[in-house]
Order: sequence, then structure tokens, then C-alpha cells
Amino acid sequence: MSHLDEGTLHALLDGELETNEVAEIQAHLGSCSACGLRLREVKEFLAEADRLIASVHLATEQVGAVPSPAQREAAALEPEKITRPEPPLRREPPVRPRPGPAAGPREPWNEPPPALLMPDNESAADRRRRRIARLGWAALIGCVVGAGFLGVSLRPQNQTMSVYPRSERPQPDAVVSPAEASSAESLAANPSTALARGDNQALAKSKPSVESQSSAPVRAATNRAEAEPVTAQRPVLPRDDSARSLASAGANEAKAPDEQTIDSAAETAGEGAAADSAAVEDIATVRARASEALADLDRERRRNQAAAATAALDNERRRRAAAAPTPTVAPASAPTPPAPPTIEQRARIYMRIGLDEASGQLGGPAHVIEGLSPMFMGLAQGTTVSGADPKRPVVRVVYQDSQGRLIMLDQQRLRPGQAAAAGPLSWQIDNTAMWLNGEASGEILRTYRTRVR
Amino acid sequence: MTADLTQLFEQYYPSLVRMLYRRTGDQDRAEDLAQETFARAVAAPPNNPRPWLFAVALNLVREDGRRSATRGRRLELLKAEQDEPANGPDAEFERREDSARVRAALATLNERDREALLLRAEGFDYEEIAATLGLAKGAIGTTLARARRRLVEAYRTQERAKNKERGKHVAS
Repeated sequence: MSHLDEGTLHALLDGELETNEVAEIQAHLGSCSACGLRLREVKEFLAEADRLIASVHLATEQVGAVPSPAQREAAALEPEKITRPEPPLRREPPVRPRPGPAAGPREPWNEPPPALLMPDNESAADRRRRRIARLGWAALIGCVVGAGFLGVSLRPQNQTMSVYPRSERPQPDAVVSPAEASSAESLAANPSTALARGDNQALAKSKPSVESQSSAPVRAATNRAEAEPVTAQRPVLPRDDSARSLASAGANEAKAPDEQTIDSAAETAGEGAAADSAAVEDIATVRARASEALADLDRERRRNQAAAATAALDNERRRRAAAAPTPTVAPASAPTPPAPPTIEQRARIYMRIGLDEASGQLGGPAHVIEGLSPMFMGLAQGTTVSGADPKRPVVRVVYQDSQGRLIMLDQQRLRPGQAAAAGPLSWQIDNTAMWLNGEASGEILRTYRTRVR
Repeated sequence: MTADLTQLFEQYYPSLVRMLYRRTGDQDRAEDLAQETFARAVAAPPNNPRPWLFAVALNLVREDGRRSATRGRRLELLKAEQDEPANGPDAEFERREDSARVRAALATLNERDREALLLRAEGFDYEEIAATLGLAKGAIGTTLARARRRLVEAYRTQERAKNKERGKHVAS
């Protein structure tokens, strides 16, 4: 018998061999010292492995559910007494063979395990790559946080986020027009300005220009200092200077909350500076003079703006006046050309009628000139036709020849016993008297008579 | 849950959780996976429950590990236990350290060796291990021999590294 392999020795120690196999192995171990040494080594590994695995147990359980390594070791030391260890649980041999081509239907428990993609053993390169990636993310986060802190630190103090709603936030300084400055709405919208100025005339004069908000308190500060000629001018007065002047004016009641905060801090600083040293007082004086100069500059600028606005308004009025259409009165002496007479006026009819109306007037169908298309039919007064009954209307059929002249065929129903006057352009057809009139000559009209049907 | 499933639960749940804990190193995760295994057993009661339950549990461990790997999470075999010390702080510290080294040594094994070892630790015979893992019965002895040897060698390597580190600390 050849030497025993390690798997067989483990199976032997695990009690997984049949009795005849155990007998053969025992016989071999009795004669092979190398396999005996290997068996001892396997026993050692097996006991150590069982001990290690048993050391990993749940915190709430008692170790001992696994086969005791001591039992295995005792059994291994006596190969003759190797018996199959009693399993901790009832063994039930699987009824299904190993899955394969000839195997039966697959069950979840006998399906081959899928490939494990989870990397258990990380290589050094993977660990290095992962470490570099983590460092990269950490550096990115650090850069973002640092940029945020830098942005916050560089942000101006007066631009800090206000906790007040938008409607309560103090309005930023803005230049208002003279009209806006003088309006009562502007004064009502900025009552704090007048109160802050501590000047009753400000309310009376209604000049709460926002720029004057900074200049008015400066005037108050100037009243304390000597009035000196302006030697320096600054185009823009810093906001904190203005606030400090406001604080010295002592008017904080109606200000916005953040302005009050600024003013209170500025007041403390201003009082301390005035009391501490003359140098600070000189600085305050210079600032007051500069503020006064700035106020004068503002007033001058407002006057210029008002003058420019007034001039622009006058120009606009003149331009509008010039552009407006002047009402022209027609002279009474100028003769108005009379409107050309309408075709009805030329035909002297007072009402247009249709064929039905004409038939009703005549007691039968109206007569027409053959070969001409009538323009319209109408009723004319009987007085307009000589020989016609003046008390009854005359049915007039109006034509127009090729030269635009009107040809009128007049017809009037004769009363019983009445006879029409016979003439070259008057005649009678049945009980209807006929006349031919028009703008054409008599000769032409007579030619049309022959065509009356 | 029927009476049979209740009996199955009482009979196999502790063993299943223990095996899963040794496999994952996370007790909460082990309990979740064991409950998921029994939930599947409720849905489809198995004919041969023991290999079925452990096979399903190992499949769930693999799937969970795959998802964890996708999320960048690693097998937490080295995770320290959170239970309260029962035998004093020093003994508990030693036990935790030893448990962590064992889990690290287990992590060095390949999947098949590790699972065969854990199933054997739960009392599975070779036929059951073969049926659960889809292996031949004749290969189980060799598999277990390799797994045990590698586990012990890995553990001893860690022991030597630990002793070497302690020596450095003492020398310094």
C-alpha cells in the first residue's frame, strides 16, 4: 500500500471512512513510520483548526456545538479505536446525486455555487490604488471646505446674511430724483431718515434723500466741531463712517435692526475715540468737514439735477405742444366745392324700387328699352314730368348710354278715362303713359322710343 | 409558519447564524441572512432541509458579498465585536484579538475551502458538505485538509507578526 495522502488522513480523523478502509489504514500505519508522523501532523493541524474556528463564536452562545477537538485528538491517538463520531444533528444522506449531466432535476441546494466576485484577498496594488483614491477624495473635500472658509472670511462684514425678512431689511443707499425726494410717499417710506437726522425741518421740507441720510448726521456732528473751510473732499463716504455719525447724532429709534447693531458698535467706538485722544478728534473733525463738503456737493448735484429735469420737462412740453395738431378754422369766405350729385339726384328720384314695386304701381309689368340695361328703377314725383298726374308718382327706369348720359323712361298708370298727351317723346301703351327724358338730345331720345317694349 | 418549519427554525437557526457569523464576521448580517434563508424555506419548503438551508444561506452570503463589493464594502472579517466583556477587560480583549486574527486567517482561504471548513464545524459530514457545495464526496477530505492547513498557517503567520510587533514595542 502506498503512503496515505493528507485527505485520507483527514477523512480518517473525521470518521468518514468505512470500516474496511480504516482497517487497511491501520495496517499501513503500523508498518509505515512516515505515515505515522504525517498522521500526527494532521492531527495537530485538525485540532488547531477546530480550535480556531470554535474561537469565533457569537457573543450570546456557548462554545461546544462543534465537535470537540479533544475528542478527535483522543481518538486519533488510538487509531485502532477510531469510530465514526456521533454527529451533533441527525444526519440524513442527501437523496440527490451530485449535479451533472446525468443528474436529476436540480434543486437550489445542489446547484453549483456561483462564482464569487467579491475580492477577499486584496493585492498590494489594489490597496495602494484604493488608498490613493481615498486621498484624492479627502483632498477634494479639503479644497472645497477651505474654499468655503476663505469665501466666508473674505466676505464684507456688511454683507453678512440678514436674519430679517426681505421686507424688513434696510434699503440700500440709492440716489433718488428730486421729485421722489420731495414726494410725501418717499417721506413716508423713509421715516427713519428724518428721525435719524434729528431735524424737524427734514420732515417739514420732505427731503429724505438717501444720500442726505449720510450727510445730515454729519451736519449734526459738525455742529459740535468748529465750522472750518472744506479742504478735502471724498467722493464716497464709507458706510461705517456714516453709521458712526448717525450714532453720534443719537437717533437710533427708527432704524433697521442691523443698522442699530452697527450704530451701537460705532457709538462705542466713537465715544471712546473722542474721549481718548485729540488725534482721534482731529480725524473726526476732518471727517466731519469732508462730510460737510460732500453734503454741499450733494446739494449742488441735486440742484443741477432738478434744473436739468425741469429743463427737460419744459423741452418736452414745448415739443409736445409743437407736435400737437393745431385746429384749423375754415374761412367762411372760401367756397366749398359742392359735392357731385349722386346718380339718384341726377335722375331726380326719391326712392329706388324693384320690379315688383314697379309692377304694383303700373298695374302690370314695367316697360323697358330694348338693347339697354337699366341701372335702377325708382319713383319720381309726378310734378317732374310734364303731362303726368302730379299727385301720383312716376315709375322711372334709368339708363346710361355709352357716353355717361342718363336716359330715363317714365311710366305712369292712366286712370280710367284719362289719356296721355301725345308727342314725340310721350305716348301711351295700353293704359300706361310713357315719357322719355334724359341728358341726351331729343334726337337720340327719339331713337330710343322705337326700342321701348 | 407551520409546525415543521417552526421545528426547523428551532433546530437549525442557531447553527445557521453561527456559520454565517463565522463566514461574514457580522452578527447582525448573519442574523438577517439566516432569517432570509428561513423566509425562503417558508415560501418553498425543502425536502432535505439541512443541506438546503445552508446552501441557500451560503448563496445569500455570496450575493450579499457581491453587492457589498459593488458598493465598495469589504468583507468585514476583521470587524471588532461589540458585545460587552464578560470575563474581564483583559480576557475579553485577548478573545477579541484572537477572534479577529482567526477571521483574518479565514479570509485568506478561497471560497470553497472556507465554506467546507465552516460546514464541517457545524457538524456536516462529507456527503452533506459535498451536496451543499456541489462537490464530490471524495474531494471533501482533500478540501478540508487544504483548508485546515492554510487556516493554521495563516493564523501562525499572524501570530508571528504580532509577536514581532510586540517585541518591537518592548524594545522601544
